[in-house]
Amino acid sequence: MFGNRFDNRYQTMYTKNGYLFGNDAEDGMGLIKGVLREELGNSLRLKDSYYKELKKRPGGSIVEKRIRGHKYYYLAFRDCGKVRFVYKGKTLSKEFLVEFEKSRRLRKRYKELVRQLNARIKYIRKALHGKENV
Amino acid sequence: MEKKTFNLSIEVLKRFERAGVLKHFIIIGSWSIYFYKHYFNAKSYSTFIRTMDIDFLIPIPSKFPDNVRIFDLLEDLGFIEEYKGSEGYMKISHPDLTVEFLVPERGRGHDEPYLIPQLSINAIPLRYLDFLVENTISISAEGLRIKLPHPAAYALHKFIIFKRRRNADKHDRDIEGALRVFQALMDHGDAAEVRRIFGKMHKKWQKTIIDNLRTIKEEDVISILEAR
Repeated sequence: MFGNRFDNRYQTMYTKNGYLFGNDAEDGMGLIKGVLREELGNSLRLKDSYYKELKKRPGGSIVEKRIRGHKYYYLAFRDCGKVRFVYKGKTLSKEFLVEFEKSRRLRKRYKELVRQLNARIKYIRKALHGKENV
Repeated sequence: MEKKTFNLSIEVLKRFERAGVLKHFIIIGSWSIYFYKHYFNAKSYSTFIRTMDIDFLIPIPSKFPDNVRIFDLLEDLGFIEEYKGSEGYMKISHPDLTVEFLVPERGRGHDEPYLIPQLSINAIPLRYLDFLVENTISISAEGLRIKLPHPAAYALHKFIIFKRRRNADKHDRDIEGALRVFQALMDHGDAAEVRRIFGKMHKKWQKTIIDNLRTIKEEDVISILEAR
């Protein structure tokens, strides 16, 4: 079998099932912590990117109002706790509706993934520092 | 590897195939180790990988029949486009998977990304990747036809680059992966093929491999490579 003679810090030996982190427990822990720190950094960066994407895409929903027998369309959304209506026109183009629907689906997906990332960040922080704040 | 990362990766590959671009890509990095099980067909071969990245090597110049916006193929899965570093290398990220594109670096090399306008992406130019492009195999897996570096090329390439790694974890993973594939090649009876591919390499690269193997005391591997 090749790879049985890694010296000093190249202690990452392997088995059929995966890694055995070295002969020196401290080296192994250092390596694991390094991987976790990298993963924490990636997760935080990705979460930030999702927030930026969410800001770019409009939330809310399309509301139809009937005023004196005429139909008018508004985009309704919450802004600082208040519901705001932004006038969109008497008719809505097909392109607008397609783009709005796509945005809505993506926002939902991004929020789901941010929840996943939050859980991962919490888990990694706990693994790295116990109850300490990172 | 987590099941959701695996499933997402396969979905990405399926979408690339449907769009007609997968046949132009070579899967490199840890994922090759996983797919080599279809080449070795041996129970003793461990497919264990610890990765959340999938790297696609694009030979240059490449001709794509149609313009395909790669990001559009993946957007609804929740992927977002990210640009890293001051150079602006593009990666397509998801909490469970990161997709990156690489091209062989030629000439003096520079830090700028290589633009591939037909796919609306940019790729990272890296040294020694031409060697992988020149030595490929095709396998059938998960209902897909997948192009990979020949396992011998994979192992030899890793034996060159592990010393260039700044990240200790990646450095160790390179060695571990290369030795695992090398062992499987020997078990598969591919020693002659390994020597043939090694023999085709530039003399300077051969020397780098031997020197690098010496630093990790892999004399057995050296003797196999140098046997006549």
